[in-house]
Amino acid sequence: MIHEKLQELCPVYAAGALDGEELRELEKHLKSGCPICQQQIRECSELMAVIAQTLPSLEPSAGLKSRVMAQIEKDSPGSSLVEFKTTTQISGRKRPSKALTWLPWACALAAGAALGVSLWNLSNLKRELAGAQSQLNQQQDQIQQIQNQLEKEKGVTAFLISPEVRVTMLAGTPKSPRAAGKILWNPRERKALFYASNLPSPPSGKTYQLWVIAQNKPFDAGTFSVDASGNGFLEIDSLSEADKAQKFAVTLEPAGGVPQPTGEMHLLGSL
Amino acid sequence: MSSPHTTISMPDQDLIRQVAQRNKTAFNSLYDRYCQLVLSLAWRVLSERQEAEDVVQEVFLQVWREAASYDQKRGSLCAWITTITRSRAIDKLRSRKSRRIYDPASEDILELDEQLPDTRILQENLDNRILLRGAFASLAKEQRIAIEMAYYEGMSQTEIAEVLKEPLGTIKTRIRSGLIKLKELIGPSLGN
Ligand SMILES: [Zn+2]
Repeated sequence: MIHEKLQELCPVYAAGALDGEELRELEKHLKSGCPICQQQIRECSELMAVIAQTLPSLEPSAGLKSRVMAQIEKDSPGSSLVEFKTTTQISGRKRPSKALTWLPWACALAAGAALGVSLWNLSNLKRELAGAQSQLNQQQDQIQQIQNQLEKEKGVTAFLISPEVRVTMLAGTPKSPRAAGKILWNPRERKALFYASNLPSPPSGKTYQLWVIAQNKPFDAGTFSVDASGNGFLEIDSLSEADKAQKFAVTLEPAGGVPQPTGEMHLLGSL
Repeated sequence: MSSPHTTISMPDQDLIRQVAQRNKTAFNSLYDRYCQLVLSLAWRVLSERQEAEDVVQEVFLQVWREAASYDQKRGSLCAWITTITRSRAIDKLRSRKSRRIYDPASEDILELDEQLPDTRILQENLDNRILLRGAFASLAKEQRIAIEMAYYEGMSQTEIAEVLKEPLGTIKTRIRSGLIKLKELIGPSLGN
């Protein structure tokens, strides 16, 4: 089947109506990892969810929530429960699919705002190290503090102390004048940590998306959400065009992200 | 434990991440956020309250168990939960011995027609159900019916073509053009 035909089947697939030989062919094609069709199905599935939201609502009966919660209680073996002490700690990205090398890093992100500040401090310190050794001494306490924090997180340390790691600051556009961003990235290993602050919270169905601009073309670097104070994190395993990057930008896009930027730009930074 | 207050206003992506880490407060907020959607959808498919509430229980248990497998790169949390709900409700529908026959003239559709907002409201009022409802209602009736038969009745394109006595290609086109139109309608307005 020619690709155009397969692409036309995507909406029918998302609506749940595809059958027979066409269903088998499209599923086979999707398994091959076609990003165009995957994106199309993603978009159509979002639309189907939108349609479901237009349904008239039905009040749940009184005991429903407690039945759901009781089920969850029963399903939670005590031993596997994780205690969370702070709210910031919980915002960590524990994704089992992530490569092991990223796990310490991901855990480090769990420290949330506090760690964001320390990463900031550390990179400042790095710059100062290069410039004036004496200034570093004045901040001995601070370094000690940061080192203690980071010692537990070897992944972060390894990433940040690499001389290859570069830092690019992003400034808010007139759309978000208070917003700021920062990306720490390793052009060779293509790993990166992106940190944004003071972004307005996106309308529902929208998400922020980070772009690498290389040879004047934008490349997707992933989507991220922001918390109530407008802070967002994104860890990137494999930054597109990392070795050719000229700029970084953040735009507001439909949920799930898009292959090419379509929305307003909120952050921009050049090397 | 995080306080309920912090999880209530938390973005979906953070909430589900916490649910994946077995945070019950987060799960509670996620339930409150999506219960209505799950119940309405299950009810629309099954037209029976008890069965619809059974689906709610099943869906949230699945969300609790599989939260860690949710991947935001593959779509929004809302779309994930909607997909789970639809598939569970359709499974239940199919396990019934006899199936309800879809009546294109059912009240739901008539009700939609009445709620069509004018374009000014479409531009000004973002992201509310009335707007979305209006957008869906403004699709051609044939497009809406094809999409509803597929999504809510669990009918395949071949079955829809048979029931409506239309060529298969026509059904495909109706579903596709309906979704394209809907995207045009809500895409730009969500961006403002
Ligand atoms: Zn394809």
